[in-house]
This record gives sequence, structure tokens and C-alpha cells, in this order.
Amino acid sequence: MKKNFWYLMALLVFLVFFTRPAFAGSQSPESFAENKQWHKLLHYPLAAAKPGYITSDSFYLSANGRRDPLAELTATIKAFYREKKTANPGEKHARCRFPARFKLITRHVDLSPFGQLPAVNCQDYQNWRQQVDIHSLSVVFASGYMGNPASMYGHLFLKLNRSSTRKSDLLNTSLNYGAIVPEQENPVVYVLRGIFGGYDAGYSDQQFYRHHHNYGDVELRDMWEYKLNLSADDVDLIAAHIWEVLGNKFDYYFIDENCAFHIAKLLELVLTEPLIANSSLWVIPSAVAKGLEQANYQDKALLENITFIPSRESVLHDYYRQLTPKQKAIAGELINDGFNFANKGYRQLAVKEQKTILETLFQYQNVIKQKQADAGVVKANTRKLMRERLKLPPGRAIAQGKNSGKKAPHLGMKPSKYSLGVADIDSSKQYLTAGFRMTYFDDLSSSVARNPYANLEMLDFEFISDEKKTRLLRLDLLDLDALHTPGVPWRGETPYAWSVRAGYEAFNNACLDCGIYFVEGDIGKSYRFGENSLAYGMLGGKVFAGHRDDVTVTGKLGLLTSLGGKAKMKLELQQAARLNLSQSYRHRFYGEINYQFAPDWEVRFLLTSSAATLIGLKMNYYWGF
Amino acid sequence: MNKTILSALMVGTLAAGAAMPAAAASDNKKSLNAWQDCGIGAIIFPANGTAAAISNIIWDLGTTAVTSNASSQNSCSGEKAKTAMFIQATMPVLEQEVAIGEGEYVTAMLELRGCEAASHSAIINAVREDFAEKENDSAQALYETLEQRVETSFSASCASV
Repeated sequence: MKKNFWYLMALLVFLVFFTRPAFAGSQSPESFAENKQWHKLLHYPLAAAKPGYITSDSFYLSANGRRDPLAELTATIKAFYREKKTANPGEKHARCRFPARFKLITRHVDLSPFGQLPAVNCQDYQNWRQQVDIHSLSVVFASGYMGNPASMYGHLFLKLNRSSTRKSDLLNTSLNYGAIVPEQENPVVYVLRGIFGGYDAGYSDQQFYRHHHNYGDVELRDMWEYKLNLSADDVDLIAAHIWEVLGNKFDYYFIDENCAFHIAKLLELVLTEPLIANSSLWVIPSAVAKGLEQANYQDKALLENITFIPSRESVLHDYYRQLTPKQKAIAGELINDGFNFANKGYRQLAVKEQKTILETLFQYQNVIKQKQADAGVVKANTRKLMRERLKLPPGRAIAQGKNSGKKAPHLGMKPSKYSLGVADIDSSKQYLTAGFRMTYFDDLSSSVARNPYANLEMLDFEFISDEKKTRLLRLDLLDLDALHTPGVPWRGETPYAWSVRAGYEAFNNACLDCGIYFVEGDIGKSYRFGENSLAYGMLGGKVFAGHRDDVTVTGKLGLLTSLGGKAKMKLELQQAARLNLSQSYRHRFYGEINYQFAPDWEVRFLLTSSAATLIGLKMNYYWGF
Repeated sequence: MNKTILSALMVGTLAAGAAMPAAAASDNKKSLNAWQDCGIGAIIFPANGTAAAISNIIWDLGTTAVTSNASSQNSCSGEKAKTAMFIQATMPVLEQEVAIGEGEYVTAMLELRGCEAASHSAIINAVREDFAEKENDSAQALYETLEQRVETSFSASCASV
């Protein structure tokens, strides 16, 4: 007992004398208040006139703390020296609430004039650190999800990795940033408040399995993990700062102050150069991925490695490719026969082959569960599969194969575009054209790191000019299409092709001043043939107002094909008629050929016929913040 | 004053020396049924297995973000409750890995339950046998099968909570 007492006393002496802050800092508070890292800890925008991004009053200890770094520093130091009030045992001491501030202030600021710091026990923080056990950081990019407009650009979150001696990656902690949206939110309000503001947002910590399951298993989105090469000290600083920001609120703006922006800001705490340009007017996740890939950290690359995390759908396609024709045929019979495992062909297979088929069918069930409405049938069939698999010996029979050529998001084309060109109408009038697109890709541009038969463009302007006048030829507020997404093996069907477009355009080529505002939507089917070709047909409608007001039904036939590695062509014929079919409009023909001659450069030839024929040639330059 | 500081340091030191889950677990009643006592089935997640995803599909991702692990630690934060929540949240995929007898979700489940890596294979084989006999293959049934096996055959290899 006595021996234990002296051990304990020795430990206490050690704690008191050696674990207290060394007060190694030499800067005055006034000097440190201008430190960039201090500003980053306070989430100040670079524009000094703007207040800090965090809107929770409790985050700033000074009344002026959201704008005044010195006032906040002074208030923070004062709070660090405050004795904890015994009357409020539940109240956390400032040192426990702000461990990253404490770390930086004690490192940089000369605290000797303030005397000795009181002893503080930050048990909650220590518990959290012990639980989360952060040794390294990764940024995870969840690929775009066409099921939700807000998810089409993809999503970023942080993964806080435990030491490598711990086994399961799924039990690492992940840090997410997102808007706080009421349940059953009106979709229109959701979009408007998302874009123009009105939602609070914040960081949340959850174990990685929730995101892994949600994105990969439910939304069927591939993920890419960008593991970062940060020092232990900087990982510790970010971990401490994560504790500081958890539970605090921000304003949410989908265009710029979104997940990608605030995940980048968190990492920039330990970087000398920003991941995204300070002048960014919009921030998309792939831009941050590019920033990670290009960033330097302490004279070496910030990025350590990139890991592909396939969705269930990617796993299904991977497994399907590994099946022999006979195994594919038997699996098809099992599906068509309601998973009746008395199937003769199946019964005659060796156990390993049976296991291979069952494991592939599990993936099949996972995918159609997300795509097929009849959950009861899926569940019943999965149950049969389960029963059959439990009869066979344990152990995986099929290995996850190589990534089937999918490219990481940072390799994709830059999202914004300038264009400049010339146009001729009916061989009688020549024009100059100029364009600007905010984001993201169109179905003629490079297919790297995206669905090759999809279009996702927002704020796409094109102006046309002659010697007298410059006019807006076209403005697409939104131009989305998904002409083809891969079908599920064995189902022999492809998802619907669809498109949605809204904006302003010249009514036809014969009258460039006859503008209409429009909304249109189409749905149909597509057919892939050859290696890189797609034909499609769609029916839809268009509502427009301006030079003419009308509601029309439309039909479209199109072809999208690759003309070699760098060139693509799109042809489309469109016919419209009044909704009551009392009048047909002239048909429209559209043809465009694109050739990418450098990573950020394209040249395009365009021919459209709509009352008059417009022939154009233009150069596109792609860029990003 | 000094005595107060020393006492606080002592308490803090001793508390820091103990693993947090174990500390939380020691407060739990031995008879804790995580499924019922922690409201796993009904409150934390609705009945269907994909509910974990639903709240996340917002402004990519707008979770109900500010409610975090950091603010939700309570008596149901022990291994049993965490395992139960894991099973409920990932069941559609987890049960397939159980049937196969291995996989990343199975590994995570057993690590979460506090079972040594060397015992994972034996535990999941035993669970497979029991699970094959069960008529009910819900998330709760898997949880109870696992708990029963851990308590009866693998208590030495897993955390006792």
C-alpha cells in the first residue's frame, strides 16, 4: 500500500512538473493575433471585412471574437487562466473546449506575464481522443449521385484513421460536413434555401461504416480515399480542432460554403497554401481532390496514396466479369426461377463454383434492392440465398478484382469553361461567339472520372455578336441528362434515358433576337452499340414564354459516339408540336463534333438547323479554381 | 487549494488510465439488453435496415450534423450497444458476410464487440451454425445469436460487458 502511494506521488510530480505547458512561446498576443493559423482556427474568411464562418455565439469567447482576432485571443487567454467554477461542474473549461487554441497559444505566445495556469482535467476531451484514436487523415470523395441534384457533384468527408495495428477500417471515425435540413422539407424550399442560404450546417463525427454503408451499399456510389501524409503533430492539431468545431453551426451555401469548402478549410489549418483558390466563387469536391493531389506539405507531396472503394454495383460488375459463361447462365436461371436451388445445373457444380455464384448473387440482390420497388420479393429471395449459403462451408470463393479502369476524380477535366468562336448563318452572315460555363461537364467532353453518357452543366452562357450588336444566344441555368447508365447484369434492361433543361435561348436561328425562356424535360431509352456509341430516343415536353408562348410535346432521336480517343460526335433530331397537336413546329437538327487536342483545350464544330442553318467553330478552354 | 488540485489530478490520472468504453461499461447493468434498453430497434433507427442512410441524403451530405458522437455518449455507449447499432445499421450487407463467413463488416462487428482478432473465425463459424437454425434472421436475431455465442463459448476472447 505504502509502495503504491509513493508510485502515485511520483506520477503526480511527473504530471505537475513535466506535462504542464512549457510556455515556449515568445510572441506578444498582439503579434500572434495576426498569425494566419490563429485566423484559421477561428474560421475567419480571408476577406477581413467578413465575420467568421461559425455562427454559434459560444464558439467565440469575446463579443467581437467573430471579427477581431486580438479580442478573441485576449478573451481566450483570460479564459484559460480562469479557475473552473465549482458551482457549474457541467460547464467545460475553455482549455477543454479549445485544445487546439491551447496548443497554438502555448506554443507561440509568451504567457509568462499571466502567471501560472490553473490545473484542468479535460476528461471528456481525453475520452473522445482515446475513442477516436487519430493517427492519420484521409479525405474521402463519394462520387456523384444522380438521385439528388445536390449530390451530383459528389461529396467529401474526412476519415480519421486509427493506427495501423487496429484492424477494421470501418470502425475509424469520419467527419462529415452538411446542412441541417428539417425532415419532410419541401423540395422547392430545399433547393432555394440550399442555394441562397437559410440552413444551418455543421460537422458531425460518425464511425466510417455509416458512410461506407450509406454511399457504397445504399446509394451505390464509388468512393476514393485520398490518404494524407501529415506529421503526427499536425494530425494532433487537426484532431484537437475537430473537437472545437463539433456541435458549432455555420451558414450553408450549396455553391461555395459547402462540404468541399469546409473540409478543405479544416485541412488548410496545417497547410501553407490553400487547397482551393482564395478567389473561388464556387467550390466543387473534385476541385479539392485536384488540390490535394497537387499540394505540397513540408517539402513533399501532401498525398500519400489513393484507394478505390467500390460501390456494391461496381462489385457486382466486377464479380460478374469473373464468372464463366456457364456460371452466368446458371445464375440467370436461378434468378428467373425465384432462387430455386434445386436447379440441376447448380446442383452439379463443385462447391467452390456454387459459392462463387451465390456471392455474386448477393451483390446482385444488393443492387436491385436499391433499384427495384418490390422490397418484399427482394427480401424473400435474399433469405433463400442466405439459407443456401449457410449450408456451404465458410470462406470467400470470389476475390475482388482490379478496378475496371475507373479513374479517380482529380483526373477529370476541369469544371469551368471559356469558349470563343465564329459562326455563320445561312452562308450570309458571320458572327463571333463567346461563352462561359460555371460547371461541370458535358457529354462531348472527356469521359475520364465520370459517366461517359451524361451531361451536368450549370450556368452556361453563350453570346453571339456581329458588327452591330451582341446578344445572348443561350443561357442554360441547368442542363442535365443521363443518356445511359449501366444496366444490372441478368436483367436485360437499361435504365431510362432522361434530360432536363431550363434557361433562355433564341427561338430559332433565323431570328436571334427572338428569345424565349423555357423549361423542358424528356425521358426515353438508349441503346449502346460498339465500344463507345449510343443511340437514344426520348419523348418529352417544353414550356416556353417570350417571343412566343406555348406548351409543346417533343420527340428526340440522337446518336452519341466516339471518333477515336480524343474526338466525339453528337447528332440529334428534334420535332415539336403543340400540346393539343394542332400545330407542328419545324424540326431542329443539332450536330456537334468535339476534339480534345490538349488536356484543357478542345475545338468544336457545330451545325444546327432551325429555320436557318448555323455553322460554328469554337475553341474551349477549361479551368478551375 | 493545492489539495484540491492534487485530488483533481489524481482522479483525472486514474480515470485517464482506464479505457473509456470499459469505464462506461462498468456503469452498465450486467443485465443490459442493448436492443431494448438502448432503444436500438425502435428509436435510434426505424425498422428497416437502410434507415441509417435516409437521414444522410441531403445536400450531400446534410446529416442531422450537429448531433454527433461527441454529444451522445451515455450508458448505452458500451460494446454491446455499439455492436447492436452496427448490426442494425448494416444488416443487409452484414448478414451476407455472416453467411459467407468472412468480410469487412463481420470483422468490424467482432472488433466492435471487443473480440480478439484470433477468435473471429471461430466465433463467426459458430454464429453461422446458430443462425442457420433460426427461423428469424432479423438484425435483432443476429445480435442475440452473437451475444449468446460470446457469452457461452467465447467469453474469454471478447470484452465482458
